Formats: sequence, structure tokens, C-alpha cells
Amino acid sequence: MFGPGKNEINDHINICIQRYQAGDKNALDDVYDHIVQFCLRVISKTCGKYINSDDEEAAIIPHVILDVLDKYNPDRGSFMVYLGQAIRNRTVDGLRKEKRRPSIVPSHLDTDISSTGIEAVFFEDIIDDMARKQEIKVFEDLLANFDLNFEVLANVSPRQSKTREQAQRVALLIAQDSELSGYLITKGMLPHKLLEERFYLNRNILDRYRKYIIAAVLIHVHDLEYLKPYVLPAPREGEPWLESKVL
Amino acid sequence: MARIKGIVMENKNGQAIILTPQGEFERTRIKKPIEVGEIYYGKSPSIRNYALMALIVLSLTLGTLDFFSVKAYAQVSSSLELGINRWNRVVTVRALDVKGEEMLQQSNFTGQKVDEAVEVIVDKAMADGSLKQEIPDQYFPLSAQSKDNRDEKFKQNVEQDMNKGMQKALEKRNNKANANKGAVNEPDKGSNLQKNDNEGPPTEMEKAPDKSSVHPGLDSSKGKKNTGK
Repeated sequence: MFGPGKNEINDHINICIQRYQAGDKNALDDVYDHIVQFCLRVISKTCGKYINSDDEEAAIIPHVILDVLDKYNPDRGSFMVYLGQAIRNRTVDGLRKEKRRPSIVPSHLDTDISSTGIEAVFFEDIIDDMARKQEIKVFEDLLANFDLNFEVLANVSPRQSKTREQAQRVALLIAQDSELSGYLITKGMLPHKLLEERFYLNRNILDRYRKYIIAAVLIHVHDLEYLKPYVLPAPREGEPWLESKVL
Repeated sequence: MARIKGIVMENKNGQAIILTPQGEFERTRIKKPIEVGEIYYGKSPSIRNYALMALIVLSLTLGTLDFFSVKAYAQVSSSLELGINRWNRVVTVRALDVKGEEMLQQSNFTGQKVDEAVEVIVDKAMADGSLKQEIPDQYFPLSAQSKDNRDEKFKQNVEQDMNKGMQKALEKRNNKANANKGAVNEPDKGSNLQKNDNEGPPTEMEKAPDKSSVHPGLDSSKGKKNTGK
């Protein structure tokens, strides 16, 4: 299994494609689901509606994948971008045939990847979304260990920006200290006593926003790179409740 | 509408949970197809919008309550009592005897203007003979009583409307009777007219109420003597 990052996905898929083209017919087993997910997203965005693997529009996916695998040359750029273009063009052709809507997107299969920089960004974004989705799944599983989910977090998330930032700072504090984070991970609760002794933290914040702090600590500790920037406190100095350690 | 941006963390039944760049998990409604992991750019209703909606709901509620609150009671004959709101509309009707109940079963006065309701009631009363057209004042008492005794102006207003309704009903009756009579007397129209001008007692039409026939109990111009105070 590979990590949830965009580069990891791309690298792993490229390796598998090379193995497949070298003759290993089982090489795609690992990544096939990801490729199909990617194709579904491209079709979804092209059609402007949700597309499941059972939908009629998704029927083209296996054929297009096989076509692209035959034609793809690694020198011409990313496999995913090439596949994305093929899927999109085939989808548009299908729409034109069925509904006679002549002007949705350019239709011809453009094999020259270098000339379609904008399209490349579009497909990179989709891969980014997929990587983010994987990371969110990992985060969701981590939260489940603490009996938390996104619904709960939406309810307990601090509304005031100042309070939220304080909670984020506490989370960062815990994540940066191996003893504190170890305590949280193993015992499943915040190290209130240690935090109060060492950092003179306001117990109210710890109690009231315990769930939010745990979620933020998990993001830091497990290095969820897509989510981390969202729970980082704004860099500020001179806050008395953190002076003893952080500053 | 305030702008909202963030990662879609969950998307169920048209509601998504977004992780905003400020680190807040925010619930929002979404219309376009969007999947978990995508960046969402949308609008969330601001506090001002909520306040505006609350104000509208409050105004509607208060307006409805106000519409259905009785400001004065109008008694039409001895059979019906009408509850009148501040816009001179009938909001409640109470039958005071069996005749009133029968009338209520036949027609619904709720929501009508006072003059219209009175017109219908008077018309029905004259049709069933309980009101003699010649002497409506005597047999068909009309009176109004405002809930707030100090609100004399509103009371007079209601009384005027009631009077107007009665006038309309009587005029309608007269016109109908005139038309019928005209049809019957058409062959010897000239002689009949002469007779009416010169001799004999006046017909019912001639006795039809004009301004002078305003109900004495309701003529506010005649002072407080007849207003029930």
C-alpha cells in the first residue's frame, strides 16, 4: 500500500504501468481501483453530476484504460493526465452522440500532453482531490478510535477565532511533545495534569474543546499533510498562557 | 451571503461538513455535486440573513395574530355576533340563537368586510321575513362594542360600515322590487306614474331608505346617545 499523497499515488501508478507494459499482467491489480476512481471523477466533472461505477457513463472506463495502456508512452508525460484526457474526450463524444450537444468541451483525443497545460492542471487537481480523500479516510479511521467523527467535530468546533486558535496551539503543543502525544494516543485522553503543570494552560479550554484538540493532535502526529495547514495556529507571540514553553 | 471555502470532509444528503482554512468544521448545504476531498467554494448564509429571516417570520406571525385578534364585537340582529379585527374584517362569528346557527350553516362570514357581512345577513333576514323592509330599524338592531372602551373612533368606524352594509342590502332589495314592479306595470306605465305622483299612499319603493333612513342606533353623527355607552 502507498501513502495518501499525490506524488505517492502518481509514482506508484507509474511503476505499475511500467511493469504492466513490461509484460506483468497482474501489475495493475494494486492500482486499478484508484485508476477507476480517477476516471469516475473525470466523467463526473465532465457531465456535471455524480457518476457511480454502475452508471451507464462509467461503462467506457475499462475500454479506455486498455486503449490508453496500449498507446501510452512514458516519455510523453504523466499517465494519469493522458488517461484523463482520453476519458474526458470519450465522455464528450458519448454526450454528443446521445444528446446532440455540440459544444461542451473540445472533443478530439489530444495525445500531445505538453500542449495542454491547462488540462494537465485540471487532471492534477483531480488526483489531488483523490489523495485528499484518502487522507480524510485515514483521519476518519483515526478519529473513530477516539469515538469521534466529523458530525461531532462540526458540533464542538470552536466558533470564535481566538478560542479556536488557542485550541490549535494546545494541539500543536501536545503534538510536538512526544510524552504528551504518547499519553494521548495510548490512554485516549488529554494529559490535563501535565499540561497544567508545565504550561499553566487554561483548563476550561482543555475541557470544553477536548474533542477538537484531540482531532488536531491526530492530524499533526500522523502527519496528514493536506489537513495540517488547516489546523495550524497563526504565528503570534506574547500570549501569556503559552509563554512558558513555546515562546 | 458570506463566502465559505474549505475541504469537504463529509457529504451526506445534501449537507456537507467543510474544514475551513481557519480550522473550523462547518456544516453547510450544497447543491452541486461535490465529493469528499474536493475543495469547496460556496456561500453560507450570514448572520444578517438569519436575522432578516427571523424578522420576516416574526412579522408574519405577529401579523397573523393581529389579524385574528378581535378589536370589536358587532351584533347583527339578535342572532349573530361578529368579531371584528382592526381592518374591519370579520374574524369570528357566534350564533346567539337557532336562527343565527341556521344562517351560519348557510354562509361563512369569516374574512369578509363588516359591510359585506352585514349586507348578506340583512338580505337573508329580509328574504326569510324576519326583517320587514319598511321598518328595518325597529326589528333589526345593529350595535357595535369595541373591546377597548376608550377606542371610540374605531367603534364609530365599525358602526358606519355596518350601516353601509345595511343600506346596500336595502338598496339592492329596492332595486329588485322596482325592476319586478316595472315589469308588471309596463303596459299602463303612464297612468300608474301619474297616480303615484298625485294620490294614494306611498309605495314601498318610495319608502326605501335614503340618507335619512340610517339606523338610529348606528348613526355616529347623532352623538353618544345611541352608541351603547
